[in-house]
Amino acid sequence: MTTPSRAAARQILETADDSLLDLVDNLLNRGVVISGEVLLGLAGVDLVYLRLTALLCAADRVRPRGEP
Amino acid sequence: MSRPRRPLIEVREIESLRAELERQADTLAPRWNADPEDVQKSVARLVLTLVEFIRQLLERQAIRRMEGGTLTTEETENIGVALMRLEQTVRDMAARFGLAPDELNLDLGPLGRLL
Amino acid sequence: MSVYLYALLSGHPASACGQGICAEPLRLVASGGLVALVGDVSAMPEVTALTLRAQDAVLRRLAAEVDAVLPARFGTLLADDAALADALVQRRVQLVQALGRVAGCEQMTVRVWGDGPIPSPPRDAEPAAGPGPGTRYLTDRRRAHEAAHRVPELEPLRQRLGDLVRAERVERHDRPPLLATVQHLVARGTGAHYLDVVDACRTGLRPCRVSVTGPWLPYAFSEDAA
Repeated sequence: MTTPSRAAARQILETADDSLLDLVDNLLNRGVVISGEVLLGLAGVDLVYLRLTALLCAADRVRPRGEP
Repeated sequence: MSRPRRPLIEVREIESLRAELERQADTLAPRWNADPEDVQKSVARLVLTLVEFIRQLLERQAIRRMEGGTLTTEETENIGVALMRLEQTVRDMAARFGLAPDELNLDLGPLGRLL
Repeated sequence: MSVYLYALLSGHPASACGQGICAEPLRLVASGGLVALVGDVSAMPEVTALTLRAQDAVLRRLAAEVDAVLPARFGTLLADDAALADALVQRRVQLVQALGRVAGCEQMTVRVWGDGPIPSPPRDAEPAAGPGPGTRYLTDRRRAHEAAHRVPELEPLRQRLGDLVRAERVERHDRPPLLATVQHLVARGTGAHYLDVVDACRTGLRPCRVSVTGPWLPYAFSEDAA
């Protein structure tokens, strides 16, 4: 799985007129993000897919206070 | 739904909006690849970014618990001191690797708000 | 082939979905009370002005036929329908809530321009006992978080807009002249009225200036307030 390249985004921004800027902002910075993940790699090769949504949650919602 | 109306803003203003969006575009692709020229710095950047990310989550949770009254006075004080030291440590270590604070950035979307 | 997510909908559109940004047929995937609008693509679509406009156009077309649309971020690509269902199930409750929040609404984007932020109000007096450094640090951090989501510069406009605004999302940039971006959720069809109110308010907002674009689909309202 790949993600939109930052180089492409910057390229648009360089030539964007004002009507395009808000479109860029809405589509690339907002909207539902249904995965929070990081791709780790070496030498340009993606090797590891780290899905953080599964790892992190508020502790007091997982275990009531006072339990070990 | 009608088409978006043309905004009336100055060139100088467009430039600052463009700069702000470019800054955000830098975090668009959450992909990390070790730079072969300086693997050590790349590794440091990834590690510190993850630590900083976790620090921010911890800070947000601590504030929420403080506001919600589910921390004792002593807990609040101890957590505050720990977070203060953690922030300083991250900053010191980043400096040691020649990393500016805003380089410790990895856009994971609204992950922080899942708490 | 991968599954490209365009948006989450509150129901099934009456007419055919048409084509996506890669000229692929759009289809719907129902998943636990959510309806996902997707297309099957062979690769991540390129980020170009054309594809961005096309995606916005696809969503506007579908939005005309359903009550609520939650646009997905551009470039949301998943392996298959199962991966999509998996990703959605984790956020199901928040997403259903978000759909309820944006039902029948659209978004107006306000940019606030000026020379610098209003200086923050003086600190409240500290309690007599004097909190320790840790508590002071945490309190400072809380204030910083709150300030990052406040745009007091817009208060005159907020007063005049009143109930026109269903919800607000704020992002301070403090990068003069760009001070902040504020998204307002308004009922569909009230965009023109909204713009009239803004125009009437411009004098009252000085020394700040504002620019408004919209209506947009509710891109900024898919998440809970920070």
